Amino acid sequence: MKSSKLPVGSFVRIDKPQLQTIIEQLQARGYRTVGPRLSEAAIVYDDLAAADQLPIGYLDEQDGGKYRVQAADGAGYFDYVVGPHSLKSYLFPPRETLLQCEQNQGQWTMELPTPTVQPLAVIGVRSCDLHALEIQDRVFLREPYVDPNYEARRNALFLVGVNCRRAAATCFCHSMKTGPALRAGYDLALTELADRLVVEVGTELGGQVVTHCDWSPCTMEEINQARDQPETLRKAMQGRPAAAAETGDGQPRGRWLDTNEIHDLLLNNLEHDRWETVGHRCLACGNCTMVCPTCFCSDVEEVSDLLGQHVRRERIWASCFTADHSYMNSGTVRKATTARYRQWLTHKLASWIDQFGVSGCTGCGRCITWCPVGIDLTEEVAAIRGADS
Amino acid sequence: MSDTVTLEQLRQIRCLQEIDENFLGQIAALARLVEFPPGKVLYREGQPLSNIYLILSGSISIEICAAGIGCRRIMTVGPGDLLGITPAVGHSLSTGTTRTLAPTQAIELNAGQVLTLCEHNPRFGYEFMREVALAIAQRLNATRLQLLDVFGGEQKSDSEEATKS
Amino acid sequence: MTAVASPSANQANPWNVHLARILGVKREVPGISTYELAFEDPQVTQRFRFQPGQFNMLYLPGFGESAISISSDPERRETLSHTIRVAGNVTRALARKKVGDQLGVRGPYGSAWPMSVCRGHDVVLACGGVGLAPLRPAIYHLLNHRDDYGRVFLLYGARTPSDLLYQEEFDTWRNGGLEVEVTVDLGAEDWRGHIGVVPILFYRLRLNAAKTCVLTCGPEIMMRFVIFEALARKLRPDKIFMSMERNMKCAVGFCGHCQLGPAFVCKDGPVFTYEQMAPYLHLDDF
Repeated sequence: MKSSKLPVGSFVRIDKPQLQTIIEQLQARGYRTVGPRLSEAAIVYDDLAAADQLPIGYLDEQDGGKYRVQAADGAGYFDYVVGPHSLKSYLFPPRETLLQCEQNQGQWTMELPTPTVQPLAVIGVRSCDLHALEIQDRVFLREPYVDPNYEARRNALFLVGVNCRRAAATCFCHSMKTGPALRAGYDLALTELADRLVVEVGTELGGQVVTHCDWSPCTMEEINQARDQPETLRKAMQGRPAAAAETGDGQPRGRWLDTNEIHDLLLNNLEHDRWETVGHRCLACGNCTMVCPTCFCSDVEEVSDLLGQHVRRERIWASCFTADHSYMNSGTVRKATTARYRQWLTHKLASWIDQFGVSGCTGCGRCITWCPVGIDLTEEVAAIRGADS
Repeated sequence: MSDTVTLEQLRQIRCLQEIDENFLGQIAALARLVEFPPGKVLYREGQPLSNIYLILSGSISIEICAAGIGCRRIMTVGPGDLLGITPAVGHSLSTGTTRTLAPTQAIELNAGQVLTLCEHNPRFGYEFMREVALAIAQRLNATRLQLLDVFGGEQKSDSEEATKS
Repeated sequence: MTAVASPSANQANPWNVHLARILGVKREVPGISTYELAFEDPQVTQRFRFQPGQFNMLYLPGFGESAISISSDPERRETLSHTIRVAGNVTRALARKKVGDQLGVRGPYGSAWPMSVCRGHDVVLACGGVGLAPLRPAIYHLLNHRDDYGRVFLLYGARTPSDLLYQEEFDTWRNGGLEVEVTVDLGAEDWRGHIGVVPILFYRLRLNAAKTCVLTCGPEIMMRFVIFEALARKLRPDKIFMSMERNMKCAVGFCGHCQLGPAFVCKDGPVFTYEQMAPYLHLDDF
């Protein structure tokens, strides 16, 4: 072991199995470590106790309504891209207690639960998901209403990012300027080369963790190689739509979304025929809102015992695709599926910008992959723009 | 008390506000000021009508009466309103019964004379009819809203509450 | 008393609920009652300030929360009144509560009626049904500061005479300098007042378009036609204010339910200018 800390901005080289040391170091510091795991034929985030639990050598094949994972020769530690999980369920859990109420002889007490947070380290986060995190920060951390549970968990997060060197056919991060290269928000950033990992130190804590590995400083050439890799991918993706869906080597180039004046395009076309067309395909199943890393709608439920003396208020994930999402006493505002799809898409790509200053979409492509009928929002926007998709 | 009508008084009526002063003077010459105590029936449904009333103050209800129902008040007209759209457009049978609800002061005009003025002065005729059309459109719109029963939702919950107890 | 995790955390936690007790229940009209509440903790009473048009989330454990406008005088802060129409599970449960019962209160939330913007103006309050309740605090403000405003008109309508709220206050308001016109959709035997819709009352007003503010609250259809009349009189779209309603679960912009285009009705509203709402009012299913 060399010096006890590595400064922010330094680049070091480690062997890929050294990820084990990183995991152990984090656990020693009290972090729960999660990362990509192969589970039930999908790559999801789950507890990661050892580096060899990673889906090493696996690739995913994604398209509209399609997700398949298979082992592939020559594939590395991180050649698959994002699966159905994102960081969302860790910071904004699907079910959370907001308030605890007890009734004693007719008197109520109402207590806020103290946020109990176990520090969480996520290994293998992609750039699109780091951007999603930043977007959700704007929802939950903005004055004057700050969600204290989200805040507590956010402050106890350690992020090991990975620069993508491969895209899925549904990715379009380059269109949303959210990748493929990691830009900020990580404690450590990994770039996988043929036989090693280049690690960039993003924070002091990151430096403290990686210093326990068997590391050596990178050469300038290695640093450039590490920088070039996601850049090469970005250029390949940027070629769309003129370039073919796959490169000569059969690597997907991903989708593309023309974001030019997209806010006005969508909000000025609320009565476009296309909404009707896509509305008829949409099953209102809500998959897209569940896998989307930025969707934040929720419901609040009362959970009580039989006598109604012990009551918990719980916040649960909700979706704007449900009938009762817009229900008021005078009736449901968005009755037709068409109206709900329109709400989701115009919110995600247009109104979100008014509300939060950025697009709600990170180009991760999950909504395309996990839609049972393969609705592709890049295609829908192109249709409204009047272009051929 | 004099029953002459001044131009200022005519200008208080919505449908006369934009009419040329020259024509207003001619209308004033045809008009006379009238007053009614509360509860007075001006005319009944089905009755031949020859007068138009332009309300200056007070309140007049329009009712539809039928055996078994009695008289259902369907709307009220007040200051600035025109009563007597029917004769204003040249029909003669009233479509409702009108009854004052409060002491009412109005400008009474013989419809036939007004229509003659329209015929001899097409410019005035156009403007007057346009204003009458606007008044009708306004009243139609209001009637639609009454039909929509926008407060109906509030009543529904009330009846639920009643049956529950 | 409310047991809390830590005082400073409380202030910041948007889910924090304050306990309150019902001091009075007044049955206004069938289906609508006014509940007068006081906080259990006098420190909360001290700190609580609201502006006309704002609302609280009233909480009944086991049933849930309901967004209810505050309908009392903002300058009288010892108690708060909420005029509640029974419309769903929570309000139905609230309607069964009696004097002395406890409930939870979160708030105040939302944007307020533009009392300072409208200073020096004539003010028209055009409302219907239970829509008079969120405007009542504005009425109290106008009466308490009568000289800051020009002519003030209250145009109020309900379905029938027995549905008119706060009738016993109308004369006091008239004496305070409000011109009050009341109308119903359906008359009754002994009803000598107007019969017709609120927009018609507006139609009859003589207004100085440049210096008139309109505050409207009630069924959306009624508000739209009041605004139609206001625009026909060349009133400015940024001086016409309306109170919108949408499904609310959190009141703080987290749950996403109340969105109307880019606006969160809970925090960007419920009071909006017509200018803000114009692009969305006539859309189907939006």
